[in-house]
Amino acid sequence: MNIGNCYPLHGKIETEALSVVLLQMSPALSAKNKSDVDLNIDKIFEYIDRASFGLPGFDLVLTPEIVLNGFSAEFYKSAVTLGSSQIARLKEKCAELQIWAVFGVIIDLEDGIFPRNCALTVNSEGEIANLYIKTTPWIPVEPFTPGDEIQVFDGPKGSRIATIICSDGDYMDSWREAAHKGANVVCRISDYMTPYQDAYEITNRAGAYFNRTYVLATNSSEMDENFCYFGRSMVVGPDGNIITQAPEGTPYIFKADVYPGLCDHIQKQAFMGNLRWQEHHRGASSPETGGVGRDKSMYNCLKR
Amino acid sequence: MADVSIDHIFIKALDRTGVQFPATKSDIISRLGNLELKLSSSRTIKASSLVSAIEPDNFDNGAAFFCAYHSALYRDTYKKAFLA
Repeated sequence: MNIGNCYPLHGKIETEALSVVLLQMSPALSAKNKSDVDLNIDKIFEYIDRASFGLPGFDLVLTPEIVLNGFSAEFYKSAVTLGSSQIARLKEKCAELQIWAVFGVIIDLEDGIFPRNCALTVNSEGEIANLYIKTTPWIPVEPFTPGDEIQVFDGPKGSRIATIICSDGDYMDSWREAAHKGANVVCRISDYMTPYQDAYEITNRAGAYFNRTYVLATNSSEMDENFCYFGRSMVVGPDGNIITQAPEGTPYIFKADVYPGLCDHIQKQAFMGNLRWQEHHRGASSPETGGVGRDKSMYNCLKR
Repeated sequence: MADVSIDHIFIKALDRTGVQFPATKSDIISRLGNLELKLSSSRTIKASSLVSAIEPDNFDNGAAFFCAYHSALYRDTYKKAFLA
């Protein structure tokens, strides 16, 4: 990892290690009702239990997108409410193992509006820490009602987490908004399918590099009635390099240790490569810009 | 013998000060004190003079500081080379 670019990263770095487990998997079945969702939760718990034996002591676990429901043509029939027994099971599991978890789930907010594609984060006390609603659904395929906010919340071990979902990451503003709000870890859960293998890697790595954050990207594997999910889940460092990656197409459980405080340190101390500051101070090292540089007002694309 | 890289020697000096950003120009000057940077066997420069020449007074982060430092450095080099 190269975190200072051409220069050393100056100063003492203080950070905790955040131990993360990524579950690359498929749902047990494409759910058509709540009982099917319970079967999918059984499978998720089986994977989490395996991780607790093979990778004991982890802090945070991620599932792929809508793994509680599956991505069939009738997925909306299996939407669950926040007060459902299914969500209660997720909360109990996190409290039991004292872990944080990000679950991909279709949520019915009981407001008479079409369900939302969500990343539900539960903390180690078994409480809902965050409910993120996918802001840029994969149109024209996905009919989900979009959310309107990229959120950042405090996670374990000094992390400030943003969750985004699959096609959110195809738009650079999602990543930038997360970093702008202080995220040092962006969790991207997805149902990325063929033929987007390269786009998946490019966008994960670009999201990390442009914003100097960790990216934890968990993707589905195998095939359902409609699509072939290629897996290749990955953990990307703030320099845009892949730290560890799952293989293509197969179920997989893997772990990485990341250091959220490192991202904070880069933003404050790095002499070079602070792209979020530098884009607002173009040419700041020129004698003609007074050491401050020029802003982004030249860009017509930002004036829409 | 050619001068050593002024950036290299200056970064080494900054590292010793333990400066943390955000920081002010006066704070960095104070931390550098009277430290002399040896550029060659016959040429030294006072580290704080490199910071005194910088235009902004406040730096949100390390990149802001180093860009401003380079801006001042090249401004002075340009003057010496072309305007003297």
